[in-house]
Amino acid sequence: MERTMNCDRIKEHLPFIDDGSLDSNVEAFVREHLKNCPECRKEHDEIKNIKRIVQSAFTENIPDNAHAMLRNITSRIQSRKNTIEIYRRILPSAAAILITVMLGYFAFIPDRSGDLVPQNTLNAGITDEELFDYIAENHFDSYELYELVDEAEIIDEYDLRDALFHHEYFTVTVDDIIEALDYEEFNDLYVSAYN
Amino acid sequence: MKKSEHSNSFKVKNITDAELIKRFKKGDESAFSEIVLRYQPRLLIVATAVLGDDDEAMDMVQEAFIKTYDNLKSFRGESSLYTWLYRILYNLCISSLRKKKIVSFFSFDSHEEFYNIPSNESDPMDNLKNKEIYNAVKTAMKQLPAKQRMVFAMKQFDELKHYEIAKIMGITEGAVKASYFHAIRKLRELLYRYGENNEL
Repeated sequence: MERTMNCDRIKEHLPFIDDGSLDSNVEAFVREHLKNCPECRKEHDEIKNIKRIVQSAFTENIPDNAHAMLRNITSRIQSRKNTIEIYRRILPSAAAILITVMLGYFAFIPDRSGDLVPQNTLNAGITDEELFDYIAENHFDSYELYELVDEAEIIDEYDLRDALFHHEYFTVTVDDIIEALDYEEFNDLYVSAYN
Repeated sequence: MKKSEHSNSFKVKNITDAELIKRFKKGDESAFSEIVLRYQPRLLIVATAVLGDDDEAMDMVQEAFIKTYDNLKSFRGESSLYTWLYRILYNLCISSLRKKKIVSFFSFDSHEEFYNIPSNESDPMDNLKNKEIYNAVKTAMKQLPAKQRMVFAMKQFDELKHYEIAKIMGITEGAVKASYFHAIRKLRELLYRYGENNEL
């Protein structure tokens, strides 16, 4: 039993005995044991044999292609450098074109700053025109606008529409009309358009 | 590779790694070529042993050198160049093996593949026998967990010290020793069983 235990401990060291990683005292002890133990000696021989087979299998079959790989690596690096160089060269031109296009866009887009409701707002995408049409069609006869319409001599819904669009020709302003309607929905639209 | 070659490899053409890095940082691209030629054979053997696929190993080593090129200027030299190279290669191999693990989860990858390697008896050509043993060894290596493969390969083919392997893989020296011990035991078991049916 004692001998078996000893062999088990010895076998733990066998993979390392030939690579110089064992403590010198341990190595000496293991080597001494190997002289007298055929079983451990057999295992040691098998380990050496496995290492030899693996070593030769790989070293003999892996091609010596360092120079070929170097050419590939150099070519990949060079190709990447060329791409970066191309981008570096065209980037200022591309940026200039982009800036020109953007400036052109902002210079020529229709001026919608006067819209009550910008077209791109979430408020149902409603435009001034649509809002004014809606008010003219639905509120000309309303109680809320009665006095205002009378004072401004607006005689029908078409006049009201004109008053909303061209309020400079009428004594009434868009603000007056919206205020008179006092509809929360109009106020919301009006506020969002001007904020 | 013999031990003497390993220790001498740091001074091929009398130029140290540190000197090569210095030259590269100053813009001398040929210093990088020297690094590739110096370390490629060693890295390729380790990558092949770990991945078990010659072509993939070539790709990984190539990739490792490109990463090295990209980062060499910021290399501070806190570790040795080859430790750093192995670290890069190790990360690439582990990443590749993880991707393959997802694929192999759906395939029946078992020891059967190993025992079904055809015998060389029907073929008289020695180089075929050599290839067959090579394939048998690669297949046996594949049966080991990835970390054991890496430890075994770095220790076996490059004779790296336990503390160096531990540093590269971010594990303890004890774990390195344990991995190597289990790797040897498993390879011995597999290759001796193979040898019972085929001449090794």
